[in-house]
Amino acid sequence: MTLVTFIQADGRSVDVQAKQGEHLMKLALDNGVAGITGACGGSCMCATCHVLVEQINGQLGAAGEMEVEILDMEVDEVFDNSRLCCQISASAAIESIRVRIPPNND
Amino acid sequence: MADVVIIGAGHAGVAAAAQLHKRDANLSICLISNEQPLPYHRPPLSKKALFDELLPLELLQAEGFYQAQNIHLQRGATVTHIDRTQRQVTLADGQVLTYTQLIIATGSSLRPMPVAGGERAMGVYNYADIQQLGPRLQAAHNILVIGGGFIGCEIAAGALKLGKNVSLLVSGPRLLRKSIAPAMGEQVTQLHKHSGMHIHTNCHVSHLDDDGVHTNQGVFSGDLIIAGVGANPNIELAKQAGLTIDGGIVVDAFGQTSDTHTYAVGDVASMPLQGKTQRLESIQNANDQAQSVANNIVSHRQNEPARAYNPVPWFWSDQGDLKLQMAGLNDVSAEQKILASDSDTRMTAVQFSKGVMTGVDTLNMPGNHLAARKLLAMSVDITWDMVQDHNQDLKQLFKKLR
Repeated sequence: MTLVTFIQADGRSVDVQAKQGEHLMKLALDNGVAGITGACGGSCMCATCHVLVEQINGQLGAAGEMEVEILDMEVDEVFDNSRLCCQISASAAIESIRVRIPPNND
Repeated sequence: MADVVIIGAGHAGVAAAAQLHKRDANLSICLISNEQPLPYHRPPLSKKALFDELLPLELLQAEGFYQAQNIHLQRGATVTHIDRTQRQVTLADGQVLTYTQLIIATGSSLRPMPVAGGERAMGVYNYADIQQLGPRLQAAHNILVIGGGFIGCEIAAGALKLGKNVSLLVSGPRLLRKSIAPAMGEQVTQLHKHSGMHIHTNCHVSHLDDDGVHTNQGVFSGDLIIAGVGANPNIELAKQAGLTIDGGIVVDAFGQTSDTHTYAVGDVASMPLQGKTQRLESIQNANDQAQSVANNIVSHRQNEPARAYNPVPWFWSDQGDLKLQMAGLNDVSAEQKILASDSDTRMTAVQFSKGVMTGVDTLNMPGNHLAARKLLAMSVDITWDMVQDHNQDLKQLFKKLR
């Protein structure tokens, strides 16, 4: 299990225990986290699941080419810790992860 | 009594409901789904999960969303009749709902194989189909796929990845003939062949029986036969209600049908696009058109002007290791230019109509795809000279122009 903490734009946080393999966009949707739409269904084709990774206990793989391009082209303000959360899955390598949802994500 | 009744809870119906609530939290919205599960994402066929285990339902919105947003979701409910004069819809259980505005988002259904025995081939469209597909693919060894469109290609590529023996029967001279630039269609055909797919082009199916699939090139058999030959818009209710139909339900640039109280969105809507009336079957169109119509309904109720829907259509298809992305409207008769690329598995085809860029197809070149979407949305006419002046790199061109 990976402990995932979403911090919404309104400051409220949502904690979810994630099973291995579950991606964060789906978790956010299933748990009603505000500001995550996931319009493309996790196909890495839109930026409506943009998050900022604030803290991680464990190993997170680097963003792939498509994700890097989407962030570059679709997100107005990209930070070093910007990621698309449909591309981050809970795994044994991640004990916990905390992500912040930027305002105006859609 | 609801302010807005929405028939259909696919991508378009749910997006319309969400946007209506976002614009006016006081609206009462009734969303009618003819399926029992909570509204879900059309499962991308290319997902690995699809082929080796039961695919979990990916919800469009969490269960609590609908109640929180004042959206009355009726599941497993079938609309049997629209009465435009009384502004009422009747459900199969006898329930009658009165509306001020109606949105028809009934989507499309699998097109049956139009030959004798066509029902012997499995169709893949909704969640129930997908649930069957995984186990059936696992159990089969020789898989026969009919249809060289996106669905056929995605299923065939997925089955190949599972290590199955896969044959694909295609009526045209190459894959994706109607959907992407000819040179790219040819390239994709070759790449799939190289990875071991048996592709039979110019292959016309006459009928299916116990022996298999009969074609002009002989009889093909397989222990699993799947057909992907397109989709038909679900227009029956609209037809009964006397709305104008041309392919789909005819709407104007504001999403309004021939009845001022009725709108249509998503796969089922035939809209004016670049001088033609056409339907778009895509998630992009379902979401964007639904939002546009929701905005226009709220504007109408608040006596504000409506805004025309003027999209840059885009679409994608994951086929094994190939990511195909299309921006703009495809016109195979337009002039095509192929941009420089460093590998066989990466390609960008740019389409120019009367010298102006109108569409871009990319294979494993996401940067060019995203740049194309931005460039096509700009009011600037993009010419081949401009593309050449920027090293045939669309991203570079976009960064210069923005």
